[in-house]
Amino acid sequence: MYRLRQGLRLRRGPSETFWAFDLESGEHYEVNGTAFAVLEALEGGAELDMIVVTLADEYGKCEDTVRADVAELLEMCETEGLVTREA
Amino acid sequence: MEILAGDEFYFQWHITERCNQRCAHCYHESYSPADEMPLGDLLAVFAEMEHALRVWNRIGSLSLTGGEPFMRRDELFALISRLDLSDVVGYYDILTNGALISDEDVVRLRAATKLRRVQLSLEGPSAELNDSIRGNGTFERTIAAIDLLKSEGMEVAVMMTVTRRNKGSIPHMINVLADHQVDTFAIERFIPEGSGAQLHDAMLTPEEAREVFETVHALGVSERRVRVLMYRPLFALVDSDDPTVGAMCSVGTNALTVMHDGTVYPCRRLPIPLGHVLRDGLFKIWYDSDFLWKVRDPANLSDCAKCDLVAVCRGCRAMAHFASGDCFGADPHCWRSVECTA
Repeated sequence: MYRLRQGLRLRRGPSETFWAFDLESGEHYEVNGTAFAVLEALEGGAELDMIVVTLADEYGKCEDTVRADVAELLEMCETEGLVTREA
Repeated sequence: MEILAGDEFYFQWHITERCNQRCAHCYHESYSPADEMPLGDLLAVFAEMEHALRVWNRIGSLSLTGGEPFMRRDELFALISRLDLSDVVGYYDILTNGALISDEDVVRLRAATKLRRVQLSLEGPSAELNDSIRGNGTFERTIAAIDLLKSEGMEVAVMMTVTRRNKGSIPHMINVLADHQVDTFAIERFIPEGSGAQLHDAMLTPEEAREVFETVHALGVSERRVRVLMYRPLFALVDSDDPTVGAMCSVGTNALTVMHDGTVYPCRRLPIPLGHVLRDGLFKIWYDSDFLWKVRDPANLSDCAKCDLVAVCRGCRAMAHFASGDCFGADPHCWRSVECTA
């Protein structure tokens, strides 16, 4: 189960820009709209299944494809330290 | 959109509100030592700035000012020593009225390795004009400070706050500054805030502002004795093709002001509290301020949003704030905006 890293603050910027900030360390990340939607969903406590259903519905794609894309995205976010994985 | 524009980040740091002068146009209202940070806290503030600059990978430029910074001489020189040791500080300036600078001070300033220049304030080329705004005897004392600093080979700048009273004296001012080997000259437009709120009639009209900007630009292009700085919003309206002319308002892009008590403003002339430098920290202030996010988006800037110079100008947000109560409104001196409205 993935969770948004503690202390991370999400903001929408102008001109369709999306940001994540660590208010303690000062690190900041510009992310794309899809990544931002996933991070926002995690911040709201959503589980992976719910995120997949929502995105598949929004983009009109099959859930298996979206699940693979989201899994890849979350692995990248974990590498960047934006999310943590809980058992 | 960049959250941090450019390679530098600027801090204007008011280490005190105390002042030995009572200028009629001053943006300060209080001259009290109350809530001044002790040296330990000032050093903690600098550590916070230094940390932010490292994380942001930006070179720091600072102005140490007040009030009158030499009212806290010991703390000022302690900070100078600290700034000189920092690997993330590119340079700093001291903004002062000059009246308290002693021979010994100049020797110490001369030894400061990252001090770029000392900036002094004058409001006109004569004692009659300057002293009517800054107080009796101030012209003579400031000129003496300029001469003292120049005798030690220091770089000196003069800043003039332009009002309806002194706007016509700029060419003569340049001649006087050249006679005293002043290196650079810059203007700010008078904003009726703080103690200066009572001088509302001294604020330039849009026509006068245009004339001032055009005059200063012409001097900047032709003047060879004194370097005339034009890094301010609205200069781009005079010459949008020259990248050395004009500068975008730094609010929300690459600057913050820290007050004597640690309160952080987007700009000293735009006194909207964003937080406290030590209690909140610069990261929270810079990343999490709704005000800063709103001002970063040019679409929120009234007339500027429609202007083709929005990427290089944006007007002065402080001027808009004090003219209309809406800091997202039009800069009242922007002649393009006025012409569009007319």
